[in-house]
Amino acid sequence: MRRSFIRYPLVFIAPAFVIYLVFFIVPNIAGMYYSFTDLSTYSDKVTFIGFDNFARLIREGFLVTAIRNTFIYAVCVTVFVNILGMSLALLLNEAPVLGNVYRTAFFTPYVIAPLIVGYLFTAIYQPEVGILNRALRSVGIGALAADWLNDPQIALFSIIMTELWRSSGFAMVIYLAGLKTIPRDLLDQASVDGAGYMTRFRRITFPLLAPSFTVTVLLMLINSLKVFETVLVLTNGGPGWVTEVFNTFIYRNFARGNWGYATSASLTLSIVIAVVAVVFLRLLRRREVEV
Amino acid sequence: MRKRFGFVAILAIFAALVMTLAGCKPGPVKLTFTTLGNGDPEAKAFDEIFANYNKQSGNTVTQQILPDVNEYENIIKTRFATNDPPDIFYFFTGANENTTLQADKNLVDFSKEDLLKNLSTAVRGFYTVNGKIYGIPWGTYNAMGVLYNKDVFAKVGVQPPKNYADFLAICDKIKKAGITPIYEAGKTGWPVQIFSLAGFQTFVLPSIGGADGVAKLGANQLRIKDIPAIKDVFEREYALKTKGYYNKDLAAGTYELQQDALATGKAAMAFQADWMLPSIAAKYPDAVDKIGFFSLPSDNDPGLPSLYPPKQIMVSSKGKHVDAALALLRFMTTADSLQVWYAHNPGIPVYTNVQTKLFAGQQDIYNLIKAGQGAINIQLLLPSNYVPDYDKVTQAFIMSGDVDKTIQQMDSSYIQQGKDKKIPGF
Repeated sequence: MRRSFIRYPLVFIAPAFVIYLVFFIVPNIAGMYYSFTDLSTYSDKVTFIGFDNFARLIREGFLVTAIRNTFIYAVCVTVFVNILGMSLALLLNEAPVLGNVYRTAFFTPYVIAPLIVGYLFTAIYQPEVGILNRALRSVGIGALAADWLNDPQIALFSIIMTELWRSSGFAMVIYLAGLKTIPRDLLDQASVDGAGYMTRFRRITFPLLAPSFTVTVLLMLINSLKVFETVLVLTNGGPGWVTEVFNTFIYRNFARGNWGYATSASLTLSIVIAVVAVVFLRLLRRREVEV
Repeated sequence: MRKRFGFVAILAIFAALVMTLAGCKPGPVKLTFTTLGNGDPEAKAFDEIFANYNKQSGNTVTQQILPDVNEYENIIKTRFATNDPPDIFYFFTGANENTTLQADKNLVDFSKEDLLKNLSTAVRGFYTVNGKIYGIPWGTYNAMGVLYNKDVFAKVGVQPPKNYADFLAICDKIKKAGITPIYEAGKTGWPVQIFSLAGFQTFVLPSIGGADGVAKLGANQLRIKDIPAIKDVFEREYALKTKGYYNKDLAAGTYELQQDALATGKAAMAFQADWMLPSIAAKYPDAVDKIGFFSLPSDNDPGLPSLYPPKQIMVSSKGKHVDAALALLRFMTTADSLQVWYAHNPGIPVYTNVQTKLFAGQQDIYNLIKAGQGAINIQLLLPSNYVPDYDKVTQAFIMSGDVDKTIQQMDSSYIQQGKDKKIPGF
């Protein structure tokens, strides 16, 4: 009786576990191994080369550029998506008129594939006929018109702006859900006690939004560190390597046939993401409170 | 129950026998010709040739068109690496491609086939590596140099330059006339490579002893950073920018805008190859023959065109239908099939048994080739890539102008690529 009690759930778990094992765990372990080899399309012989690939990552210097750009992108996107998302959520929470329409409108960009968003913004940012520069010129501030994707000084900023447009609606939805869980009587009581809007936000709303904040910050941070499609379409890491990020670097080397080297970069990225995620999760969990 | 099992077993054995016998009879072969998306004319020409072949042979050849350039190379490389090679495919040319595809192991050697009898000795020589020929040349000869708008030159009153000082004087005169002297496609990236690639023939090759220097570079006995002429080429290129000879939207310039600027006379010149001319002909049929070609001149003479022999058709030695692929190739290299190809894709032919129409710019190149001028592009002569990501290297350079950093990057990248490809000497 006891044995069948144990076997019964195992039967249900087994198929999913086998799929997970074959398509996730085994490739990951194999990937870890191959990052220490010279696996490539140029030879059938695979040689174990220790930490050579990782040393080359540091030596070539492209990784430093990729890490710097990825972190600038991730920090900016995470911070501003949260600010914008939370602001939109607070506005929509306070003004229910046409709330559903706005909610849908703000969330829609997130449903569009990053690749498509990239192509849309390539047209928007076009320096001569793109609508952004045309709009700036038409309102008399043509001096601000720029070559958004090809000027090395602002290309990364333009990519960040694209992602803010795409992801702010996603953060808004999470914050809206969080706002709905805050008991109305807490806010009413604070109002009766004379607390203004900002005091209520600082003392009640923001602390109670902590779980939503944790989720949004972590998701945005992890997704931003994995940014790929938008950069690929908008700038392909250029001009030169000015907007190169971790994944475009990995893609370029993988495509070139240097599989072992690309895998070592991929493993490095995985470790970076894991460390950042764990650190932030611990920090953010500390400030969460139970309602 | 046992009886029924016996009946089923006999039926199964009978079915297996029938299927085996059916398999023994040679039937029509279904062959896939893998190629890269390179515009309608190529696809239409292949379709027409394959339709003729299918009618004649009873086999079925279908065309599989894959994404262009880098993606295509990656897909083909990966298919070989995962033991799923295409039977017959169109691929890039040059010694480094043999290294990339591990030709000795993976490809059919055509050196003993009669497919190449209509090639000139020089062309045959280029496709022969260590006595073996792994690809059948297919397409037109291209050349890198300077495409120019003859109307603009006539309006400004200048002729193609006789030397580099002359070239700079022309740029200056055109600029003073209020026309952009050179349109560069910085956004697209790869067109920016052309100045330094054409400049290799003109300035670098003589300084390293020609073919001997190239051989040393290929064997890593000569380093890129130790060739002063390469640095000189980049300095000349950046000087064109500082003198204001390039288009103002250099960073946003695309290959398409480059075509428009050259065809409409908004720009006088472009560092390009004649492969741009069919695209101009499609958009500006009246303007295409107003586009001429000259080589990037050296300090003392009009320079040499940087020749780019056509891509090649290769057959996987591990494919399922090697004989059928060879039969198809024999059909493709008949005069009739070649004529179909060149009717759709006019240009300088590599086969001697075809007639083809040339645009004015192509005729300029053909005249230079017939006069014995021209040297094969450096990218196609080395067992390793000349420089991986050269489009990005030159794109970054044209923005920053940092010559030393560019040379350092090229040198280390070239060495690393040689090591990755396990080429002796690296």
